[in-house]
Amino acid sequence: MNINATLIVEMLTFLLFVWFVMAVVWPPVIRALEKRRAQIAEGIASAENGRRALEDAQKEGEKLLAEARDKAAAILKQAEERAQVVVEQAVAKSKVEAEALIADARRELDVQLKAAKRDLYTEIAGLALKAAGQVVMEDLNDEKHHKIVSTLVKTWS
Amino acid sequence: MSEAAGPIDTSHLDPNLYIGHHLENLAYGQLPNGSWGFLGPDAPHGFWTFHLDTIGFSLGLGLLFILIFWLVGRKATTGVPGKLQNAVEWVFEFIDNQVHDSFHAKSKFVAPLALTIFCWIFLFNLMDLLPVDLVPWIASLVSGTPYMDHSPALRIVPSTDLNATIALALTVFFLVYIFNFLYKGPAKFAKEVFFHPFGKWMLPFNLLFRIIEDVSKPISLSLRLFGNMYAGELLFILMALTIPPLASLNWGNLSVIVYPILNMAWSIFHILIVILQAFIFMTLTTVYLALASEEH
Repeated sequence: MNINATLIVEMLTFLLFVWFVMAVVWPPVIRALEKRRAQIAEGIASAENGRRALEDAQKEGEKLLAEARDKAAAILKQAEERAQVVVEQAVAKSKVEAEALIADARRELDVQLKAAKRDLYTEIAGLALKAAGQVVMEDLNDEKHHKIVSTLVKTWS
Repeated sequence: MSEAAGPIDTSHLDPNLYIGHHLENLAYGQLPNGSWGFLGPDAPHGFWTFHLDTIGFSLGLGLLFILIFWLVGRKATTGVPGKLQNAVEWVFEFIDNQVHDSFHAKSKFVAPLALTIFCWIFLFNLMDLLPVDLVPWIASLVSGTPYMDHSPALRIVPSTDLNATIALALTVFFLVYIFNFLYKGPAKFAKEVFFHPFGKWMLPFNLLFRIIEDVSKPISLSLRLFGNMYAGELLFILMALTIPPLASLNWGNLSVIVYPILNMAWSIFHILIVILQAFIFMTLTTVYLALASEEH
């Protein structure tokens, strides 16, 4: 084995390289690594925050949705009740109106009936008077009398 | 191997020469006549010899690593990273976690040191996966000398050179002592050396144990890496010997498939070793420095 001055050259070279790496090469890379590590940690933390915020927002949204659903159901129920009331009211009102109409018609009928009756009586009275006049003018026998009455009855019926 | 057949002369591919040539460094130093130049394998290698291949490749690989990491790090954004930045950041985080796991004191030095060690040694070892003859062959083309005959030796894996591994381990050894003094102070350090682990009446043994412990650290550190990579390289070289001479090839000669299969199997296994050895060196360095910075 020949150990010679190469050893000294190698040692000097080695020290020079180590010094250069320590002074120039090592610091910027390690700084960049540290910085990136910090950035990644920050990113992960903010992602976690975002995830949590999203979860909260989802929960909030679900809550709002449920509330809205409840409200809608309540409104619907109310509307149904109201509709029923309206219908009932309408039915009642129309019943009253119908009754009023029927009453009106009946009243009208009565009036007309009464008028007809009045006319009828008037006519009957006229006929009676006419008949009486005939009776007075003529000598009535049983047979004739009977004839007149039957004629009267025939005209009434 | 004696007969020369066909247009390509393979007779000079003596296995001993071939292996020897691959285990030789490109040495530059003082020649016997006093002038400076490339040293052949037979020339005496003094202390002031420089392995130009080890120095050059380690320097180039280190610059490659630093350049990539520097360019990426300079433009490092905190936003979504690109593919290269992602890869670099992965390495940074891996090293940072490893260091934080074992080194608990505050230091701006240990993590960059660990990164340098890991990446540098990883690239050293990775050179082992290049085909053993590729780079030396290119070098012989560039230098204009026929391959193997007179071309200078070239070893492209710096961690198969003891000089490189010992340099790393020795630097770590010195750093351990610097950390001992910086974090504990001389008094506490002396107390630890002299009164641990057996108390003050066994002082010489404590000191002896401490010396053995401290000396064994850089030795094991450097030899572990060197041994693993050297053995791996040697195996690649030995496998390359199974490549049949081009002239002997004919239809039905299955010896052609021996080398690719062997080489692929060992390469896949070696990828693990490449990473593992770099990782072990880095982790042990961190642990040694952690021991030096913490009181027992």
